[in-house]
Amino acid sequence: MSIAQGARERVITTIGESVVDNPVMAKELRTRMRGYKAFITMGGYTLLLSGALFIAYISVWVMYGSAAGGGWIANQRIGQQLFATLTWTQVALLTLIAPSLTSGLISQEISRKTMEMLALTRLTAGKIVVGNHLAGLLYMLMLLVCSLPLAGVSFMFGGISPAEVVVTYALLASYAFLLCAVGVFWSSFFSRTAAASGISQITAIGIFLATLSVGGAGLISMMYRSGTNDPFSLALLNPGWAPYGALLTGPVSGIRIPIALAAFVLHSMSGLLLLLVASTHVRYQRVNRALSIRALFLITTLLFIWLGLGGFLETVAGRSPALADLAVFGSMVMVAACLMAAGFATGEPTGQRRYLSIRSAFRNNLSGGFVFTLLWALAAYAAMGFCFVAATNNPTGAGFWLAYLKIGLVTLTVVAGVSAVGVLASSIAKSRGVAAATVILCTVLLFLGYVLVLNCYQPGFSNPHSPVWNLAVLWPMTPVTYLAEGWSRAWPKTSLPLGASWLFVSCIYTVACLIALNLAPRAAEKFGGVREE
Amino acid sequence: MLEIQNLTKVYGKLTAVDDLSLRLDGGGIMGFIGPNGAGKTTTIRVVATLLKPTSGTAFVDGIDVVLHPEEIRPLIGYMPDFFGLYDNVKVWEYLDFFAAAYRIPKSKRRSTIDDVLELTDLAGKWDSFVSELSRGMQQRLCLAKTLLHDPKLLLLDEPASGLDPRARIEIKELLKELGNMGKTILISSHILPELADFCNKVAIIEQGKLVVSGDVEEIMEQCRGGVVLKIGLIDRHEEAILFLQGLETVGEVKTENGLVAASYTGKPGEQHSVLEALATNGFKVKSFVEAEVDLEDIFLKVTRGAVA
Repeated sequence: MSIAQGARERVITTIGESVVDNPVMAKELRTRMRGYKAFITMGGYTLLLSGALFIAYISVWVMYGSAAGGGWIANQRIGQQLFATLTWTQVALLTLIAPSLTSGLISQEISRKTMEMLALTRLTAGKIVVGNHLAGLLYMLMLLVCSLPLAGVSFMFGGISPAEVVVTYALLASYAFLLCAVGVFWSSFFSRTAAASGISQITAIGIFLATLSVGGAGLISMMYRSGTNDPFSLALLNPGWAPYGALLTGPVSGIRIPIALAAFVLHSMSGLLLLLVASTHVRYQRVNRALSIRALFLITTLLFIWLGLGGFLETVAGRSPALADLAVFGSMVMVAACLMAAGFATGEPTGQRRYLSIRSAFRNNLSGGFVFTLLWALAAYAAMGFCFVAATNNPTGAGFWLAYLKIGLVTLTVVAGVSAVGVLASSIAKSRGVAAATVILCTVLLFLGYVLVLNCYQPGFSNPHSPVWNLAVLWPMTPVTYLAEGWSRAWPKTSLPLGASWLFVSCIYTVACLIALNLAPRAAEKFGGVREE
Repeated sequence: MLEIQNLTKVYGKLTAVDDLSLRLDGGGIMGFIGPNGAGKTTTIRVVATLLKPTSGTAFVDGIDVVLHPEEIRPLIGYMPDFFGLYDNVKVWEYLDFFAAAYRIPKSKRRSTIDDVLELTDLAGKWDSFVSELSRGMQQRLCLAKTLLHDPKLLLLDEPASGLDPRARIEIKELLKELGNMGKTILISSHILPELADFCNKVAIIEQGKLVVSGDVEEIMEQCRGGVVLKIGLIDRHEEAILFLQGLETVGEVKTENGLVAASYTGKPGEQHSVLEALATNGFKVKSFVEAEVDLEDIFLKVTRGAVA
């Protein structure tokens, strides 16, 4: 048997054992389906959907039915509207139900004191997480299946093809997969079920609203923008939008991507990532999945950047990338990487100082986390550059690419500085939470501080030539705004040349990074630093 | 089977277990005794791989619990002092869940569950809901779960706490049975009579420190400092006391509840010489017994002061 074959069999056995013979899932499904509760929920779910459909039917009939004289066009519109209503109601219900199905499961094991008994069996952390997730997901899928006859109602009117129904349901399923994973993820962090449920619900509603607006903007721009009639590639992240374009394709870097597929893949990958992280938080079972978590995180976020930015440039923006895009997306990468440092570049100080090795980026230690944050910032910034190059109307002119390189240098050094703060804070603070909070505070001060200072500035109100404004070169956003030609005349003047602010900022943050990294081992010796049980 | 080496566990300023070393050979049943808060649960949780020690370690079957927790877990059966039960689950489902979790093959699960239910006298409760069982039955169910994977070492933390006297007796019988089956058992309790009649080893812990450990018989011997003979006489009590004090093989003599209590210092097994001496000198002896010293007496003796 070849190595590849052996590895394949191992993967199949592992997946098979996690999914098929999973005692956690069996127990959850057994208890959930016992008694009348499950059936009342199912009944309530279909009843709610029927009610929504009935109201929609009445209102749609009033709107189109009489006006069009009840012809086949009217029927088609009614069919489409009914299916859209059914889908939106389901998405809203999914958002409320899916995370609550799973958010209590792991935290309950801890509060009920059954986790330690589970930990002593041969159940792996992965099996516990997958079992809890699948139990919630299968129940959710059952509710979706229950709603299928109602989808049939819209068929009677026409206007919806079977393929659209299949794709919409596949998206609803992948959305449920993600939301159930959100529940499991928070459940693994909290021992109190109320806390896990609350934050899961907030996260789910946040995902719903964010994807709602992204999809809305993406589809509305398709309808109203002259010239491009293509939908934004991330429009269907909220499956509520699926009835409006389930089978459409959107251009990304010159390639046409089925937008439903993009959403399905992103839902699944994000859900999987959450489950992987959750499996490293199961109590009494410390497992090291740094490699798979970081690799999947890198792939998912890069895919997200490519689909998002690549699609945005060709549809919503509908023009060649401008310096403003560079500034906006560049600073988004910078802020995201700095916030990520709170998670990756904090932890138990190990004394290892391999800050220049790419391989160590995938090791589960503090210096590895530092390197990974930098690697991610570099990869994300490069992916952004790739989207600009691959855009149908790619930018020409050395000025753009010079600005790209300068902002890239600023991004990398700022991220390095903030991550080094994480390393230093981890060497001083006793808890990881404090170290992470320091990084977040630092990031907020760097970026929000800049915005506040500029907003407080009123021409004529304070002296625009005050030497205090020279401190502006310390803000990482100054070179970005300047290079994007956003530093207008009305804004404060500095005696330092703003044209070289990218160099100042890069140097200052590099020095800060080196100082913090050198102080860290000494600080760890003196204070002990973060200790993880 | 179990060896604890210089185990220390510190929580902040509190030292829960302080340099504890213990040894328990295969097949032994060790009573792990100490007042509440003495460090029993902490020690057991370290051995059960649920807690990392501050320093020191423990070995089960020669495997280090700190370095290889995943290899230790199949070898041990741990029953916590407070255990949770799942709602809405039947007895067989509960056991089937843990049997699957211990990777007992599907074909063998049913018979294994039947066996442990039989052993714990719960066979009739097969289809009952776990939440409807009495506290004693739940305790036995938890023990049944602990036995599913046939562990070599059982770690039982206060298995009889919170039980009524009848359930207590039932669980004691069950533990005796397990002892007869050759299991190695470490059982903790703060109440002595629970353990007195079936432990062959004992370890007494107080404020995180081991006070005494070893064979029950040996410790009893050490602690009582000789045998006490309780002699009942029809008359001439005072004379008998003086006479006994004159004997070489008798130490202190006093009166207790109308009986003469004489501590025997002679050779073991030759206590009858005292009776013979009394009889030849015309004392009318109506009873002659060796006083029983039980674990409770030892416990009080070795922990005197610190507990009170």
